[in-house]
Amino acid sequence: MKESTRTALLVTARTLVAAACLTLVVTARTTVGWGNLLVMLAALAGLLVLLAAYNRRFR
Amino acid sequence: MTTLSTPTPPPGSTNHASKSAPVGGSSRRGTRGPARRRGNTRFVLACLLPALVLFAVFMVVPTMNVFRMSFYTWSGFSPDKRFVGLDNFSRLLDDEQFVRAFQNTVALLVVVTVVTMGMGLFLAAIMTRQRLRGRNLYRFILYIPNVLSVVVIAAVFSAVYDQENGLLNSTLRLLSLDGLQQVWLGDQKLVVYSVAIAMVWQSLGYYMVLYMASMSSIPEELYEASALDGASAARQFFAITLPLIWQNLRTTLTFFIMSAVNLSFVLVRAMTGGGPDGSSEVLLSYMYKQAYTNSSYGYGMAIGVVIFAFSFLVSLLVSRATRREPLQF
Amino acid sequence: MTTIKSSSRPRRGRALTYALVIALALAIAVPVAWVLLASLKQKSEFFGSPWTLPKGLHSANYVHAFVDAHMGQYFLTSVFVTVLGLVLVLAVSVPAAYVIARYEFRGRRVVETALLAGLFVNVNYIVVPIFLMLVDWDRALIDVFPGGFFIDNPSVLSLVYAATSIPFTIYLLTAYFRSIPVEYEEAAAIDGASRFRIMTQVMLPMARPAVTTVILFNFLAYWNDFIIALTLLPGEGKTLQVGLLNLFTAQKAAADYGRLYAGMVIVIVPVLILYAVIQRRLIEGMASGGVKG
Repeated sequence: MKESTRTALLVTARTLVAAACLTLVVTARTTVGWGNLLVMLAALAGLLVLLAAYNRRFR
Repeated sequence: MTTLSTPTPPPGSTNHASKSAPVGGSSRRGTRGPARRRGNTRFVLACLLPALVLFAVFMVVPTMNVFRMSFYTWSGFSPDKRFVGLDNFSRLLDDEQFVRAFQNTVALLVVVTVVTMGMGLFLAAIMTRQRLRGRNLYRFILYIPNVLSVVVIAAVFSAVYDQENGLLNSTLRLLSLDGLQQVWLGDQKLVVYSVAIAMVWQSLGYYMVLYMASMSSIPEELYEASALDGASAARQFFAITLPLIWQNLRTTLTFFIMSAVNLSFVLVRAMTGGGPDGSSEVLLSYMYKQAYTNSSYGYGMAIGVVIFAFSFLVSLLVSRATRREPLQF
Repeated sequence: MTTIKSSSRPRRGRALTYALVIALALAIAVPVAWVLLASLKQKSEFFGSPWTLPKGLHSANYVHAFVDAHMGQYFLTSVFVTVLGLVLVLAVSVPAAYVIARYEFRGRRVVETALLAGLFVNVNYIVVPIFLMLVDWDRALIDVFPGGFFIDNPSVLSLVYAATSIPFTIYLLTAYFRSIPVEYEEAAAIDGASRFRIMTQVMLPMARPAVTTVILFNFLAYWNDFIIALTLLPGEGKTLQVGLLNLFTAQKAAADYGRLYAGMVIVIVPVLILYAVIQRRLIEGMASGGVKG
């Protein structure tokens, strides 16, 4: 039971982070500027970190 | 040499088994003496040189020129060529249009990759698992955009997006949803996502069909066993399907970065020309414009260096992040 | 309760799947089919609802596209460029791939790595340097060819296509050659066949599936390209895609839809027919690669 709650929490957290990164990319684009570009690149990096974190236990 | 007596299976069916077979010509032929080996060198050179020369002249040299010319100012046609160091790059820092193109590239890359790969995997999984009737017909239709040229796709989408008589807006009118009508290609905020839809439309079928092909080779018993354990379809997807097609997914994802950066350029070039007012410009189209139309060749190549660095870095990171030991089934 | 649930859920899921897949298929089929139909419409029919069928078979659009817009002539150019490109790429890539797969030689790893890196360089990244290089060569040879040789030459366009698809082609072919057991070559070598004969008469026929895949993918790439063709053929002799792009640009200004859609049909139909004929091959071939340039 405890194990399954942990998994559920982890899945939810990852989904939320992914959604947040996507939202950041879309919203930061609306204004032109280096700051916004950096935010977008950070969000892209966030998605990649998430991918790596998901992949970690399979390596 | 004794293996000659054993019957060999036809090629194609031996894809996996024969990888362990001893491969490598000279170790085998080398035993026949130095004369044969010298002939080998000549044969290898004759076979290899034409391809390598073409590759060097039309790919290696132009690629190095992108990097070299980013340190010069040059109109491209005049003999007047001047070394300016990092000037072109510092000019990039003040170029709003460049920043906008970069932002559009990143946005298209992220959104299109997530949507295409996500939908492609999902559709492939349900179509393979549920054995829909008429599966081959759907597959046939969904793959069609991949054989169409980008010019055709741009023209198709201009018919879809047309403000007055476009398929999209007139359908919305038929459904009395007039409020949802948009100037799809004329709205500075929207145009990038109109391009994104066209990109997904173009590439979704390709990846879906690709994943279907690799999913259909997963043995059915694996699913039956886990169904007995009461695993849900979603669980089966993450526990069986995804790990078993991971190498395939990894390759496609790594190469998708480059092909998305490229596709966004080709579509923008044919569909919007970067407009309205530069709002749909992407890095490659901006480079092309600077180097070719605006004759600021050196400056264009500085943008090219950024594109190379960016797409190579992202591909590398994706490939690193998704590395796994290959899984056999 | 539980029995109802377990039987109705999969069924509802199936219905949803059908709905989703059919919607997607329609989203792709309808615009394409619409273009095919619209190519038969008269000018006046383009104003008003787009969801009407053409009133009659108005074939004048095709005459306009073929003759006035030179699409017939561009078609031939495209056929020439594509066929020559395919011949060139196979002529240089098959031997190279074979040698890389089967021979040990110094620098093999370097060659392989360089070609692998080449997979990450898209042609469109380097089209401007290629163009300027060709302009440069033309300038150097101005005494021999006053009119220029490299720019506006369909054969050179083929050569550029072939050269820039070498990494992908060798990558696929090498993998396939490696999967063929060496016994066939050993048998032929014992029979006294020369290296060249072994390559062309023993290995090439066996690599036919991979060669077909390579031809299909390169065919689509060459036939559908317009960026390189636009850059390297700025003069009168255009390829089909560039001709279509011109019709497309002209339509934006003059609202001459009929001619554009007829032009599109001329471009789409041959590829669609080919696709319908070879789709199984194409899809099987994809499973072996996964790399798309």
